[in-house]
Amino acid sequence: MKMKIQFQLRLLRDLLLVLGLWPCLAYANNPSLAHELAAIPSLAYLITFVSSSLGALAGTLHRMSKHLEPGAPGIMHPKVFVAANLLGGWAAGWFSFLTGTSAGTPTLLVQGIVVVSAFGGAAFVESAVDRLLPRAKPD
Amino acid sequence: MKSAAAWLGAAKLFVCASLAWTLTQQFEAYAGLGVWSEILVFLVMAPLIAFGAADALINDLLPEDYEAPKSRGMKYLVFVGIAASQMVWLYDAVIAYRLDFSAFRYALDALVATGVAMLDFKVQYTTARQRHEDENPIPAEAST
Repeated sequence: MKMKIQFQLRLLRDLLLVLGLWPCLAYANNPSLAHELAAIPSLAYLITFVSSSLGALAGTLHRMSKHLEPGAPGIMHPKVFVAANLLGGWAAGWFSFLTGTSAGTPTLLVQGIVVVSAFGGAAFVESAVDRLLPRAKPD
Repeated sequence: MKSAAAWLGAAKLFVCASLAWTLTQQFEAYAGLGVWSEILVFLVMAPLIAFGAADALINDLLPEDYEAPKSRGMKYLVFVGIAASQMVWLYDAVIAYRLDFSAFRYALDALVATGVAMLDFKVQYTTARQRHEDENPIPAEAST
């Protein structure tokens, strides 16, 4: 059982990596996008990372408020819960940043899209992990 | 006044006022340009400020008789949204190479807003738990 869960979690992690790297792979031969990305200051990438983390944090708090309601069973696997939310948020944020930049989206909107998609990505991945993992509390 | 919540309320008012100040400055910079993306951003951020300030005043700073229980559910999202809004302006300053010392205020205020959101979530969770335990006390036989 434990092996199966570990395999499923590894599979999910690899899927997230592919999701995050897909835009890079798809646009690797696109010189105009490569030039556009190179023109973005490195501090902007850091800000995008922070914005993704904020979206993921919002997703984490939103899901947590449902799990921690009085009478609810609580969070069975807290570390997996937080990791799934953060990974989902980062992957979705990075994906939307690259997609938005390549589509020529206005600067202000790119960050808004990053935050919203990180929120959605966190909730999506966390609910997927929630279905994979067993309900019983581990010993 | 709920003294425990007064500091949290003051911090909430601070982050709302800070974002309002940022919006005022940016509005002056963008006024007359009529760019739809900026207008959309202003339309999203203004309700965040109004909701956050109203929550701080009603739920934290006014006496306990005044309470808006329906606003409890989503207010952590509002304060994370305020933090994200500050990051949007910081990103805009970085992309436009307008990064000066005052732009770091955005980062600092985003940090404060994130802290406020997490602290407020913790307070809400603790209060709800306490209320639930008060309404459903554990029987003496069950507790022993």
